[in-house]
Amino acid sequence: MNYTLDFTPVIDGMPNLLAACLGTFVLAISGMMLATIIGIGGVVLRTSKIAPLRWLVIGFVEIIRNTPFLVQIFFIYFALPLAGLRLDPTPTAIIALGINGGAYAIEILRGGVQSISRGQVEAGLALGLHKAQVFRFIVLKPALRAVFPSLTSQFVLLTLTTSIASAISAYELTSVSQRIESDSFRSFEVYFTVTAFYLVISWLMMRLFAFFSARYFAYPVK
Amino acid sequence: MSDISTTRPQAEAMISMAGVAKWYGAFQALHNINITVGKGEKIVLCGPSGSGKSTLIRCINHLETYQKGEIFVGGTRLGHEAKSIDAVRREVGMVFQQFNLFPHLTVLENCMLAPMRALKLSKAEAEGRARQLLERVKIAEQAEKYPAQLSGGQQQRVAIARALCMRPQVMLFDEPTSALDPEMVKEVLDTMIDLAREGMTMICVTHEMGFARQVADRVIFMASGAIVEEAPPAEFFSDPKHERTRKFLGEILSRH
Repeated sequence: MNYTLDFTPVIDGMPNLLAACLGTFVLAISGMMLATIIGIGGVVLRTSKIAPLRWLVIGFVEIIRNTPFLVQIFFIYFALPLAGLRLDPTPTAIIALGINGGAYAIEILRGGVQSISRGQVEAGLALGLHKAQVFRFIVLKPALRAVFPSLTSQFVLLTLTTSIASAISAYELTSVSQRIESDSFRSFEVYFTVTAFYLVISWLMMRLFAFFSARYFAYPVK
Repeated sequence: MSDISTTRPQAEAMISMAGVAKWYGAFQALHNINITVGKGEKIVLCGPSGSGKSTLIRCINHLETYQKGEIFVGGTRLGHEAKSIDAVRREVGMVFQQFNLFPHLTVLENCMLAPMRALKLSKAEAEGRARQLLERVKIAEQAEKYPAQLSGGQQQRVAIARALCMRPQVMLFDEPTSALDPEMVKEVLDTMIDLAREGMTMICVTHEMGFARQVADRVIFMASGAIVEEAPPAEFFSDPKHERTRKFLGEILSRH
């Protein structure tokens, strides 16, 4: 082998790469927030008394979980404009990530809600709270706590999935590094660096979730 | 008459159940239940397991539906629609066998949640009320702790305080001491006796016959989903009329 490592293009591109990391963070955090909203809303509808609402959620979850993320993002970016909805790459990526992550979050959260004993709900109802109040003030937090490790790994996965948004040139780490690579042909150096960056980003996400968990779920259980 | 009941039962009915029947599919869980409970009256409901006692009191705040008959609580007819269910639940407190405290809320927050959300009290009002009632069940110093940090007896006393924070007119107790270690039964029963002394209308499903003797105005014995016998405690224990009652009392009293 007579390949000589040359990190000069990577070092020159470092400001761009770091800014792109921030872009990845923005996509991931926004996607997670949307996924959380979809997840919680979906669980509420999934356990609704009204059957068509339940079917709607089941159908949504099945469609999203059984189709590739790349196709979903292409659908929003290329197909929806034909129906009059034209979005920029970054909002497209956030919506796609939110919808995709939300479908998985619904299933995870459903497990959490089912783990809450019937007695908790009955105690809330007996105190005169409405069903929605029982869900919001009594069920939700312990349910989230019960599934928080699964939710964390799902959301770390969502963070890594942001790289697929490079296919529509959203502003994030993979697409910026592709540009540096195609200008310099220094594939090894560029992707080595990017791999290290993704590892750091994932690690930071996990720390963030652990921090959140320690603050929000700090109550003792038997 | 019970030896400590200071408020005489009044003619005014706090709860009345007329012809209540309930089925689980083909299985009939309650048969033609007729009960009237006066204001301030204390009822102990006993019977073998599966006799329908819990199902009966759970009908009173509509945790269970029923298919036949009528229930009135404090003059409000308990229908199957949300409005009357809400109205009744605000007047009826319930204490469960498994305590059912909310694990993610402190003792104080457990007591404040429903007054703030269901009665729309301000935070300060709800807290004042909660601290006062925690004082009354002698657990005020644990207000900032979480349920998992308390003993079973303490948890059950918090559950009683939590229910009282809604200022209910009636308290339902569903085997409140059955899940407790023996040494904690007394503290919970003492709390219930205090409550009875203050004139609360109470229906207690319990096997604590000492409590029944001391507190109850009437003991109701159920078997197979029907009321078999109903009498003041002195008469109920000394002179049970039905064979099933005698058998039940024989079994339960020989255990103690």
